Amino acid sequence: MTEEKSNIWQKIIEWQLRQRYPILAVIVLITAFFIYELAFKVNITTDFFELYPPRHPYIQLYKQYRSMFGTANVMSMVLEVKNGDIYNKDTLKKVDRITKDLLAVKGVDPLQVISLTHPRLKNFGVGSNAISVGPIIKVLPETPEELRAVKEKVYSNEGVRGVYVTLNDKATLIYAGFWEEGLDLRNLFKEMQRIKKETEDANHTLYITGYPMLYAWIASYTSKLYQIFIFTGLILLGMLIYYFRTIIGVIVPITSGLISAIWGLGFSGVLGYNIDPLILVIPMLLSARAISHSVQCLERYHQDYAVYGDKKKAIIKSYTYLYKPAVVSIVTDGLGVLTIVVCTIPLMQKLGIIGSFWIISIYVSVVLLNPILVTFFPPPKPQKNPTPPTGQAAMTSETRDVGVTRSGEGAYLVACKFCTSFGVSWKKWASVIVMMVVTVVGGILVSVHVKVGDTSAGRAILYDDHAYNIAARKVNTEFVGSNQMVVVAEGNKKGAIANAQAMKTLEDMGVYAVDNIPSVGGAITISDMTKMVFKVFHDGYPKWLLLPEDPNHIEQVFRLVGGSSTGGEMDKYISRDYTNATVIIFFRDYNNQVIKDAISTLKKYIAEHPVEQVTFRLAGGILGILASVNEEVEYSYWISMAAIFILTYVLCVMTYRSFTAGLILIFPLAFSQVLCDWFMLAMKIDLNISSLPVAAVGVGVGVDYGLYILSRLAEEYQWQGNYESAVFTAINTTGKAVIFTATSLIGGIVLWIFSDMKFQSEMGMLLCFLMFFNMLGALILIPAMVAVLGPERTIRKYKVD
Amino acid sequence: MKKRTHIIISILLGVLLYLSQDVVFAAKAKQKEGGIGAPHILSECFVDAKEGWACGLRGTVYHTTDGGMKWEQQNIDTEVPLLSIYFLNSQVGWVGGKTGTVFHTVDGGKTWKAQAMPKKRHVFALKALSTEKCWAAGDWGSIFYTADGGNTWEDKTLEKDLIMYSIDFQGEKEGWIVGEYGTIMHTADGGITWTEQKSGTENTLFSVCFISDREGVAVGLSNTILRTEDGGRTWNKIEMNLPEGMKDDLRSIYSVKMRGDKGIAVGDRGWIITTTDGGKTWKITQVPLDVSLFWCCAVQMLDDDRAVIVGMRSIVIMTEGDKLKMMGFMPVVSPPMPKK
Repeated sequence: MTEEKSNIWQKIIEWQLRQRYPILAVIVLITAFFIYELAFKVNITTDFFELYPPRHPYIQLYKQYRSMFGTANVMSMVLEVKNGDIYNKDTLKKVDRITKDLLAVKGVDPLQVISLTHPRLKNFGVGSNAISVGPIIKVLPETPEELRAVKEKVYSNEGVRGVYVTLNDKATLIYAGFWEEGLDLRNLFKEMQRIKKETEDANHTLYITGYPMLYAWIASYTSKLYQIFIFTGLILLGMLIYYFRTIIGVIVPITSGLISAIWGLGFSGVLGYNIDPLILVIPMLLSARAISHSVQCLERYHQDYAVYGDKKKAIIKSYTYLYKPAVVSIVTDGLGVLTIVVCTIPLMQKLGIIGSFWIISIYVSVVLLNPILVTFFPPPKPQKNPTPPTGQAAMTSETRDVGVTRSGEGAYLVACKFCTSFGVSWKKWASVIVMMVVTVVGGILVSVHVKVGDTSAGRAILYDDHAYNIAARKVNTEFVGSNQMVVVAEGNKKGAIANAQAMKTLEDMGVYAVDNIPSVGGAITISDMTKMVFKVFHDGYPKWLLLPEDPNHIEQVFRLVGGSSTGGEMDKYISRDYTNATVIIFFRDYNNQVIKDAISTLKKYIAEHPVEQVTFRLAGGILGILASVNEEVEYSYWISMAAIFILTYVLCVMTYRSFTAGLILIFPLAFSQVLCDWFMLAMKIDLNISSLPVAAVGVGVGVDYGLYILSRLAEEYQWQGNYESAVFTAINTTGKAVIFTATSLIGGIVLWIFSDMKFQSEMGMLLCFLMFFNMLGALILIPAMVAVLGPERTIRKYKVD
Repeated sequence: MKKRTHIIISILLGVLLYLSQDVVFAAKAKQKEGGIGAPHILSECFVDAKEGWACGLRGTVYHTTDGGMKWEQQNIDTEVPLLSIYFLNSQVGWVGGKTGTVFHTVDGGKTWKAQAMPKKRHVFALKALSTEKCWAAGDWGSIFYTADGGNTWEDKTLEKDLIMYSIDFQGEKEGWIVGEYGTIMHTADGGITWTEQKSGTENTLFSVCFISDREGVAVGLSNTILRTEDGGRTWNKIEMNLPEGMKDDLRSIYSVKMRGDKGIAVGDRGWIITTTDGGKTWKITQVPLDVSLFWCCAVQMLDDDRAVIVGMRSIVIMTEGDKLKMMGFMPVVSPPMPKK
């Protein structure tokens, strides 16, 4: 320890204190600017395009054909009758009313609104001497005969029964597609609730599901999210009051948390980013981290003041000691979160940028601001029995007595006492061995079993008995299924689809999907319609439900179908110049594995059935989008996890100047991460675009705790020269603050478990679990690891200034 | 004890079925049978009151040995729509399909062997006269004939481009083929020459059936029923006494079978009609609402009274006289009847 170097941190602190007014002014100005940004520019809403990885081939396919084949964001509504069937005046009138109302909702694609009463649903029939293609319902039926005729049309046209009307005639389906751009989720939610209210009566129930509705529900919960966050904040406040019982102990951490939040959110306003409601959990976590850093610093200040009795000296001493671990953990976390940008999903990239800025802002709100703030407050009251002091003061044995300094500390010290023994006795070996076994064996098991996107989006975010999921089950059990995957048949010249081989392959692919993919409920292609029309061409004789062979016949049918539909109606099945066509496959249920299997099944089929002039491309529809999102999320999760671990290791090695020291932090981190993954598996919490960032950011909590404990251990060991007493001191001081922040945050976040949104509830559980195990990792495993690896080798070279 | 449980369960089931007669149909339709993806059955053939075959879309062939109650799918190496089936006896039969697809069996359908047709025409009708001789007809006026069990098929295609839908023979000499626009072709020399008979209608005929070389019935589009008593030299149109509301909503008749004076014809939207006077008058069989949503494509008579009807979404309907007796979907047909 050279005198010069030891003063660098101290000099910075002293400079900060000298320049406190200018620094304060700058911080206030910047904060004011961010408040302005926050108030006027930040929008908490979901932008669907932000969820799609733009360079993924599936998304490129989707964007290329979106205007032709329609949006993938389709809402499904089921109108069900209790008594009788749907073929009655009242029910059909309601269907008609809903259809018309939907057409007026903002953001709807009118071409993708379809229902039994919409003229787009066609009846292919033989007139007296001509073929007629007309709506199934031209005017709403009034008489029993007319109602009867509707029923006959439903039964006699392919792709109506089972698709739009259940096989038992008790329910009918209404679809509405929404463009990503024009969607106003809050308005959509309001409109749908109104439609539901106006439709339902003693005999009718309306179920609403589908992607736009899912996000409308999420939007509707945003205000409740705020409430829960406010409660979390209040609980934290209460805990701070209980623990510190000084004004500064409450005001300083809260100010740090608030300033971090304002900077982070305001920064997203500067960049013009939306904040997705599901991602809101992460900012909350980041601000909690600011508070936790602040608490560490204050704890140290309280201790040092007790020893030195001088406010300024205590400030300089305590913040000098904390500068290094604080900066290292901020840099580690900041860079770690930044690695999320490797994911090409815009939402994740933005989260990476905002998140890392947010963490960096903790430097300002805690390291820069805290010592300055502390100078404005009166010093804490003198304590009768000081906690073990630090540095030189600790060398005298009489100060080793650990007394209760503030009445709020009692419970925490009991916990500390419990933890101390693990670092020294035989228990250190036991702890390390248990950790190694759990990490390695568990890690292998977890990597085999953890799957991204294990449940459908609806069930990952909302409870199973939520109206949305009930509706989804209704659609998926009684109809062909609400989740579409689209295969695009891309011709290399005009009219490429109008040949027998292409038509047959389209049809066969649909049949193959129904036969070979378990979750598939049905498939629709232009071939199905062609067969129906071809049959009608031939006096309606059922044996003519055949695909025409002659390209002229095929085009003739296309022209008839196209001519009898209004602009764009047939686009989702075939393009107007017959160059491209689609196979639309309906899934009753899905998860990532189902989608993956379906894609590989279809790829196999496509490879085995090449068609001249036509290339088949995967995978459009909502399932294609989900597949691309899952692929991206999965790979970026591992990358950002790896990055955090590598960064932590490298920065630890640099800080403690020992290669073994790096391992000390890595193993407890890996241990709690493995336990977390286990927990997610056991609780069936889905790993998806929303939960993975939480897990990735959560790791950083462990880095914070670990670094503080390890630094304190090194410091005490170097001053006291005795490892056992160093552990004792570190746990009872820094460890106590770790226990306090961890338990306070858990106490605040526990509330989330009672959220109306399953996602938030699960994230609450996950975070509680994560913090608890990271706390244990820091308090038990780190001292044990140091003991086992040898303090001389690991923490001797750490620079205590 | 066991027996008692069985009885109790049976009674309970019976009560349930009685209470939920409406539901029985729906519940069945929900299963894969009869639901979406269940293939349409387009043709059938019985060699006696017990044994028969049926074929349909997606290369399906079904076989029954209990008069159509239980059906078992047979293995045939094709996915092609199969449009017509004919069995001469319990061993020898042919099945015909899209674009010249023909399969032949000599072991009751255990193994099927593909045969080559002279032209790629849809085989809408088959009629075997012996184990060696068989007639086939289809679109583009195609008529094919084999005299060697199908090793070689001769091309006897008509000059006119007309779709031919049905063949019937009385003996090996007298034969009729009917098709598009009321066309009736007749041969009196075993198919060496075919001459056109005057049907008196422009409506497409889908099915023809003779009970002697003089008496026969042909049916087709818009409830067309033609009857002849002189081998087809003159055909008379039979006007049915249709109830109000049906007169301007005529249904197509796709298949007719006669057995002496008794006969049955089936068609669009659950249309089932029967005759007991050789086709002079016809009576409508009342079917439940739901059945009338299915088209019936083929009918076969098991004896003078009982008939088996197949059609849309693998539906199977059994009738006795002018009464509906049973219905269901391939592969199992069960007795509980849906309510009217």
